[in-house]
Amino acid sequence: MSALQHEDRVLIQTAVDKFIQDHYAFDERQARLQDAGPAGRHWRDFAELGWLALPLPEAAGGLGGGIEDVQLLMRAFGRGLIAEPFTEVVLMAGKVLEAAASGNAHETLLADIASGSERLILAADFETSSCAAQPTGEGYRLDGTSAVVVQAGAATRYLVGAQLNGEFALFLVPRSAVGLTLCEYPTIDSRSAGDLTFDAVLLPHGALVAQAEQASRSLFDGLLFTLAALVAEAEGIAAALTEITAGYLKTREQFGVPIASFQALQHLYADMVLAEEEIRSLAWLAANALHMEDRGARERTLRAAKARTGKLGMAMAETAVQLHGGIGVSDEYVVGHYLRRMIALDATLGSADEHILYLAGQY
Amino acid sequence: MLKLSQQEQDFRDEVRAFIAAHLPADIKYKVDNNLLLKKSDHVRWQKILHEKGWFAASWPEEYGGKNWSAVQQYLFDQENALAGAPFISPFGVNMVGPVVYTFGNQAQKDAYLPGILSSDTWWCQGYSEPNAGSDLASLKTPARRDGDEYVINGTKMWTTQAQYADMMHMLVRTSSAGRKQEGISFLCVDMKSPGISISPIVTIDGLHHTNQTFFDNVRVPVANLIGAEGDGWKIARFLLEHERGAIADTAAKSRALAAIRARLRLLEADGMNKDRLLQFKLRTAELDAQTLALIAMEQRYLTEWQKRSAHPAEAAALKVRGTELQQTISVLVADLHGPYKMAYDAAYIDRGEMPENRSPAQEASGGGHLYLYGRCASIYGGTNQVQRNIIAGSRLR
Repeated sequence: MSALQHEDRVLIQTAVDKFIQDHYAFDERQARLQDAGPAGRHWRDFAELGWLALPLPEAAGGLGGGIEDVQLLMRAFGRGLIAEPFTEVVLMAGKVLEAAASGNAHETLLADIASGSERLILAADFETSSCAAQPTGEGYRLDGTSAVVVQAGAATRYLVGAQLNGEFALFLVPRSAVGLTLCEYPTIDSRSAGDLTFDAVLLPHGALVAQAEQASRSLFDGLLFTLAALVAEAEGIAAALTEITAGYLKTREQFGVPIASFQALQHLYADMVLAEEEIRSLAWLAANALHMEDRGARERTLRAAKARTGKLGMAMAETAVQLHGGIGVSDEYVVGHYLRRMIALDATLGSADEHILYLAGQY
Repeated sequence: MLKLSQQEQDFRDEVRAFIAAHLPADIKYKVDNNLLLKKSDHVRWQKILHEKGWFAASWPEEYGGKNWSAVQQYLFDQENALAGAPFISPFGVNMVGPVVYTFGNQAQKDAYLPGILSSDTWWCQGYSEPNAGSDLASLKTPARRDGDEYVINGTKMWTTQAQYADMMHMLVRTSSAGRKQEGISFLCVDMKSPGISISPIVTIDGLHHTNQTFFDNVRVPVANLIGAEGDGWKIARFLLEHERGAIADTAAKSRALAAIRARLRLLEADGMNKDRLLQFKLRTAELDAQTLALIAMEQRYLTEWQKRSAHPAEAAALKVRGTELQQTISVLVADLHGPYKMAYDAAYIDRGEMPENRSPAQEASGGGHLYLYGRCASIYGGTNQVQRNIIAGSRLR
């Protein structure tokens, strides 16, 4: 549901379209990635444009936007191949923190996320955590690893999921904590991820954000919100791919005619359009499904939408590459980068196969 | 399965033993882990084979070959790929070599064949152009006759390995009269000629395999023309026909599937969720069955081509099924890395080193490389759409 007024949404749409046009030209991509810094070149702009505050509660310095407002941004971010860690900081970590810190002292951190001064990154997934926290006299001791934390290098702090007394708990861990190591590597979508290792990291009592039911419910709600946003990002990519591919098919000539005149290619293109339409419908569905009362039904719906989006997104991007022929597999052309982002999207928060397996287990 | 004579079985065993004993470990490591092979890797291996007399062995003996039968060559290619040896770079030995001994004059045979045999002369191929891809016959790069030389102006796309090459075999336009296929000629060009410049094309895997090559008043001796002016199309078709046996490259698939099964055993031992494991096993079994079918198709054609000439639709069938299977396998390889499927370190793939402690992200990068570069396979050498046109045309026309 959109929480903003229509006029505000129009302003956001105009701003994000203009931003991508002015600052995110694909052919300047190399330079942009090279001097990106830990959070991309434009993190400050994201803050100034209000995007970092968009989905966070007004009481905590946010704009109180809903999933549909976020989806509007995400569609544009998909098209623009935005490399900044918006999803990771504002959605995954931000929305989990919003629920987990509700009414406690950590709520002020939301305002720092909204202003861009703190970048919180979530180290937890749907899967059970492989980190464990032990109470000590002064607080907690944290041990374990968290693998493939996307954009881990952008963090000023981590929000870490760990088992505490047999229950799930969320802790705030500073980037510079003693005993915390980060092993970073590039990802297929030209961003980065990292593996976090916690080796006897000592935390004060105040590092505990939430535990037990509140912690797992917060994680669950935040991740489902993120899934609905990721489907919208895929929608933005899909729309860009069908548009760019149509342009190519209509202008590229072989055998003396535009290749759009070949039925074999028309049918492949039709499959791309079908995928785009389906993903757009899934993004709409996912936004509505977030408001479902039944928690189980909500989870099944979001997971099914993510699974289907992952499969369709990769398949249609592969087709876009194929329809471009050689130019499609050139690094200097945008289509291959959309495919690479679709792969990363599928791998984020559970691949299609993993969600399907979960769903099959529910029958 | 191909029924082998005792002689053929002995031959296969000999090949297997030789490769096991002589394949350098660092090269095998690169192949097994989907890292980027460099020219030096290819040359080192090809020289080992040459010394044994097994490089270009299907060439006639008078040109330095061993007159291998198609079955012998097939068995060798299978063993070579199964063992994790580099694929044989085709531009010299499988493409221009047979063209030179079939269509070339004595001076050309003397000039070109020894360097191909020793791998001291590296070849690349200049066929496609920016506006001549699927419609190759529409190529435009003119070679204008000027005394004893041709003068070439234009550009060639997708000149793979041109950055390494000493020579290029290329198709040029020597006439614009008649059908467009008729004005094409086949030239051998020294890559050190003044006026040649190479612009790298980085592919979707973030690596440098291929190039665009530019020709600015490049002068090539008329002596480098193979056959007569206008023979280029005929020669190019001969050359592509010559490549057909290797199109499906099934042994590389068999090797990839063996690696997948080994990884499944590891994941099982590590206690992976049983249902998740079964999901992977089902996909693997499906791919094993598909590979079996492709091997059957490949071997049946191989047998029939010894009795009759090949039909273009048969080679097209191998190309379509072979590349589709390669791509499906690569998705599974990538998926087996779980969330690390997202990791892709192109610089690590390019360095091709053997680290003592490989990180999961580096291991997964090999799968990413297989997947990304594999997207090219259904495009180069005639897209799968063009191949399907050939298949449909063979039955519907």
